[in-house]
Amino acid sequence: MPDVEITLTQDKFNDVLSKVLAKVTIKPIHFQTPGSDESGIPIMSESTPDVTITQRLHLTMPWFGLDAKIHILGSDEVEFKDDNTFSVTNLKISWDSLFLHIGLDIPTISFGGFCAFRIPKEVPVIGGKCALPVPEVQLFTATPDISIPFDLTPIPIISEISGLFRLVIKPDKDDENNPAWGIYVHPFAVNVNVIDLHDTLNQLPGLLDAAIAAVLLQLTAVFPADFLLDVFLNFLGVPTLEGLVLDLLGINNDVKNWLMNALKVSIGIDNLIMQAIFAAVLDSTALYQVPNPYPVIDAKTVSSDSFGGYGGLAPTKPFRMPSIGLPTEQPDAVFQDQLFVLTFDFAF
Amino acid sequence: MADLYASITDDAINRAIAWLQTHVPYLFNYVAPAQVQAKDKNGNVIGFTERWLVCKQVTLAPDVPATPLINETDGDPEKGKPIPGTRGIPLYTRIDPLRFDKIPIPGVPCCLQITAAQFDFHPTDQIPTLPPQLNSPLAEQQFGVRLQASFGLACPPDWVVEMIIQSHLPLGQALGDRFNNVVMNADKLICFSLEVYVIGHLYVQEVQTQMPTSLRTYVPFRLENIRVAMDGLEIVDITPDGLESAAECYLSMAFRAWLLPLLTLQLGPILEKATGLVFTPILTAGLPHNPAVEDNELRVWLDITVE
Repeated sequence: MPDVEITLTQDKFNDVLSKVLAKVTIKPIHFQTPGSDESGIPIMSESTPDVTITQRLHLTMPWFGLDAKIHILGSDEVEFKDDNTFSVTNLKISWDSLFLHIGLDIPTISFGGFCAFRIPKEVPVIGGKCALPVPEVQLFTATPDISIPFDLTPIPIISEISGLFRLVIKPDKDDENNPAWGIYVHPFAVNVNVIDLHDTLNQLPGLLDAAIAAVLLQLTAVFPADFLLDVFLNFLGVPTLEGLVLDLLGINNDVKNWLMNALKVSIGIDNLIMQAIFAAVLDSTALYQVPNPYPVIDAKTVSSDSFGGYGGLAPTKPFRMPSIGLPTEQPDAVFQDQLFVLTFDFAF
Repeated sequence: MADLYASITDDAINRAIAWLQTHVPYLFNYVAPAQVQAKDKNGNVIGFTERWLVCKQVTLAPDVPATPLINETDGDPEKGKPIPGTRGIPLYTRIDPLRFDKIPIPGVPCCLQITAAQFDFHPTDQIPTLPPQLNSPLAEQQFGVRLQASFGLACPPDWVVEMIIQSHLPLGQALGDRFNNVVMNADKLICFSLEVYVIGHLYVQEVQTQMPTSLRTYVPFRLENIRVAMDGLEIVDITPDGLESAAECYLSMAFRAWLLPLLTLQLGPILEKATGLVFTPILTAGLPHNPAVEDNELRVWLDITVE
């Protein structure tokens, strides 16, 4: 028979676990797709014993980025398993902020290095010289070249999150650096499925239009003169800038569908959320700590006259009588008959 | 079903008490030391020291750290630092010497040592035999306590008595308070031991009170206090019987009026530091006994709100 036994029902365990998980700090999620200079379609590859050279065709690419902050609200259900693990279903998260960055990454190109207007040869002295040189510049060197944040924070993202956890007991320290046994929940599987965007107010099309307009504005601002923009579009072989953007981003009339695809496929939001939650819970504080030693008497200031039988010299000043705690052995935590059972013995 | 169940065995409590006796001996040993003249190498009295006389020798467990004591004197620049020369914790708690009003003698060195303390939760196993006056074995939901204590009193040697006689003023003059701060010199105690058995049970006292929720707002709140009631007390082997009965009467009064009220556990919000959550327990209703003393354990079932 253990010296001390504490049991908790499954429902109350879930209540405590939900509140502990709600305090877990999840690091902000940051992700971006690679730029066109980093990716591209391989079109030729030559290898020697020492080196492999691959030529890639770099194309203008839609670019996506994600900046998000989430926190855990809690779970509806915890189920204890026979193997001392427990499952959590319907783990709810709240989006503190969610910015999808949409944009374009255009391959770095050299533009210019030609003469826009050459003086006719017939003009004496200066004939044949270039009156309007267009210097060669490297254009579109940034990744992405144009981007605009698309604020999805007001749009609820419906997700199904579940996980499998095990209890881990290990030596720990409390807030005051005193030794203790920490009981932690360690995830060993987390499954995230972002299933829908709940756009009850039909805000999405308006938000997207505003984002696209901002992308167009940024793209236009790259060119110092309107005629140069036309030159550029001809260079790319597309009629209008808007057409370029919509085509490149693959946007169609079903905004929600396009957005879900961007989140799940282009960005892989399911995976990002899973990794963030997994890492945060793994690093979180203990579910419970069993102090070691178990405190029974607090430290206090006492008068030296109130005591006797000192080992060394008798003190002549008030001193701190140390706290007293009962040493404990490593606790044991199991799930048994739908109860969480924590037992420990004193180490004497 | 209760949200939380907790239990502790009587064996664990008894092992904890035995451990505390060797690690915190000053909780179990109360001594009024004798006053002894301190003399220099020439035999001249230079002051007084104390001699701590006990009936049973007290030792610290070897794993108690022999670290210096920490200075806690307010305003002292050395506050928080070790006091040089000190080592480990003290063995005894000081008590006042015995004094007899109207009898002009110095204070009498004495000691009270609790040498054994055992708890037994129903059914009887830790304390095999209770005195017959306490209706052995333990009844359901009852606990038993066995205490063994040693008492010691100094008996002044003849030379001390002679010194006292010589110090008296001529008859008719007031003796004053000349022995107020003086404690007798002694080098041994007259010791005797007593065994005390107590049986009792737990009960719950509900107190209706009000809990503040803001500066001027209160809500009704039910406080639950778990208290100890004594069902019987027996001191073993004091004669004559009248002396035993009188001693039991006054000891019982001391327990009921002073000690047992101190052993009240009030259920209230508890901050669990690891999680920062506040647990507010109340006893689960509808159970035959809660808390319960059964199967050699002290048990409690609680419903908890977590915030």
